[in-house]
Amino acid sequence: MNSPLIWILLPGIVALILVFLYRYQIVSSIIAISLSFILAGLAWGLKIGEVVMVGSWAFIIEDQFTILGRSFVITNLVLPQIAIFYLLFAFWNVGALVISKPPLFTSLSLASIAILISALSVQPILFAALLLEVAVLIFVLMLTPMGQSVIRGTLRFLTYQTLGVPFILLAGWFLSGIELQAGNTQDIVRAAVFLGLGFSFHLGIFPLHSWIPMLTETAHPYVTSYVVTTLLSIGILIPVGFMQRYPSLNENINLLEILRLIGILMALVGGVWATFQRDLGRVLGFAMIVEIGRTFLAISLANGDRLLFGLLFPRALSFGVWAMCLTILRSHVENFRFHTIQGLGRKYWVAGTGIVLANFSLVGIPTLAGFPIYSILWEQLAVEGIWISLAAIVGSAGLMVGGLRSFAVLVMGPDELELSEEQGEGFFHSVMIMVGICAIFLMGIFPQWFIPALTSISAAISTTVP
Amino acid sequence: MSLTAVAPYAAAWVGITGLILLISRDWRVSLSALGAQYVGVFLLISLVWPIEFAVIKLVSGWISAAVLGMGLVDQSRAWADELGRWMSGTFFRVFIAGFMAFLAFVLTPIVGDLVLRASDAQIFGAILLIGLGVFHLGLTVQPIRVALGLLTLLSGFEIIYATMETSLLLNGMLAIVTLGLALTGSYLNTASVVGVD
Repeated sequence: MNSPLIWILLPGIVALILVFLYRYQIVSSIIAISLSFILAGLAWGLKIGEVVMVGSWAFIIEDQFTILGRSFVITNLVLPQIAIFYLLFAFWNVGALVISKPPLFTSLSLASIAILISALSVQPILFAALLLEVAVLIFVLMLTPMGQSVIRGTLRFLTYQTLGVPFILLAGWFLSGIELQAGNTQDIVRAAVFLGLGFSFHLGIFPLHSWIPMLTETAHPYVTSYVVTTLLSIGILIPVGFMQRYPSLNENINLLEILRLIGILMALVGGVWATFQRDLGRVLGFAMIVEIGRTFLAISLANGDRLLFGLLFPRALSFGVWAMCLTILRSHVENFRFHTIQGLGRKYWVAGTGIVLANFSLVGIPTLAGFPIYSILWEQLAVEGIWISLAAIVGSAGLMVGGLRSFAVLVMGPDELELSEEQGEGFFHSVMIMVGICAIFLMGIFPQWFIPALTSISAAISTTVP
Repeated sequence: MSLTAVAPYAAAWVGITGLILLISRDWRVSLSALGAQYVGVFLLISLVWPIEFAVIKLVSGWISAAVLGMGLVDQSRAWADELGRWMSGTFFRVFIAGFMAFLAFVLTPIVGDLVLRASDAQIFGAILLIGLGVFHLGLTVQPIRVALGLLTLLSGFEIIYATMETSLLLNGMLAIVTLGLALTGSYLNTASVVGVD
């Protein structure tokens, strides 16, 4: 028995079985959610390398699985991260219980998590690029459910993600050369450039970000949010792994400064563009771009790994609530353009409230989920330079203007709307959104309940790639 | 005739097949060109790899072409002619392909300094395929053509990468990605007509 079998192969096999159960969505959701809680619990409780007793059966869980000379390694230090990833998976799938979603959402999302964890644990890290591409192909299937035409955003997503793979492979090749003959600055620069280009394609770094608003405008909002936040939460750890594995990257090039510049650019671009959007879906897309910027800003700080994990749950919660509300509205309107949704917040007031509060949470408004961690981020950025912090706050301000405009459009109809016999969001939708809204407030008012636990996980990040 | 002597012809061959992919109006011709392209890729990779390893690329490429073809057999409506009624679209593509060939010719010695094991023919063929693939991607919004563009681009990259990285597993995984792209392209092509009942 070894750890990759438990946290990669087992969910992979279950995901495959769930594909055949797509007609029984509730059953497959319950199986997947239960499994993710079990895997998260095991990751929290099990100790790799120690004797485990199950009745009279005793065995030791090894930390390595080797195939064709390459290894997947999951050590005790990365188990808390894996627990978090499976909890995030459970969060997205619990939310999906009450909304209409693609039939294969549950199975494919479970498969994507297993593959992304395998990408994080594979050695040499070079293979991560190819596993990431496999995850991307699964995301494409999620974004284009059976019976629906493919949208341009999905094609662009596929194109950009695939374009990133060769660059990462080339970077890995140069880096492995650097390992053998240390100090070759020219190769380090080449590797850094290729790595930067590769992950710019993968993470939608300006000006390669266009697929994000394109997807949020037309694709299923909940699936899109899952895809982007998962790429941002787990996928971001792969370049971080490269940086940890090859410290010469940081020694020869001021990589942290470059990451900071990218973060500022993304936060500003996302915020400013969000201000001028006339589509609720695109506002969500630019909020994601601001969040990518914040993530890069967090990594660029000395204790950025703590902030990186601190951002996970407020982000997932806010985007989850926002996307769920949009999905509910989508069943009543053709698109999210402002002239189409004008006044809709008066009829679907729970969903409208959820959209606005989730947006404000991502802005960093006090008492909402994002505020505690964003305020720490802004404070630490200000120590590095007040203008850096100001740039991040300007990005948030832009997002706030976008949120206020959305709010205004949702509540201001041309005249009083006729209330038809079909009223509101439905009981289960309303309950789920209200639970999400309460969680947003709880995270904002009692940050001491979750921030210490999340930031303590960061201790493991430096050993993601041994 | 040795493989080294065949290499320049193989490089020209992949360029011609890439051009056919760009200007073809018929999906059968395009998929045949894709299959033929992998023969050129196989020959170029054979210069640095044992034949039994290089043949992986050929087989995965042909399977990809077959998968895309199967997706189109009953869905030929999904293949739209993007060239228009007049010849201007074709001329434009031929002109750009010529420009790509010129660019590949100019870049070959520069890239050769980075990739020391690769011959000029390999580098020329690889850059040409990458350029034509990117150009193809820039011109289309059809799922099947996007898949063709990505496969062309990846083929070009695989020629260069084969001269750098000899890990069989890594190249096997690249073959899996090639097949995955073909499957995804085929799925995207048919998804709109396959409902869930």
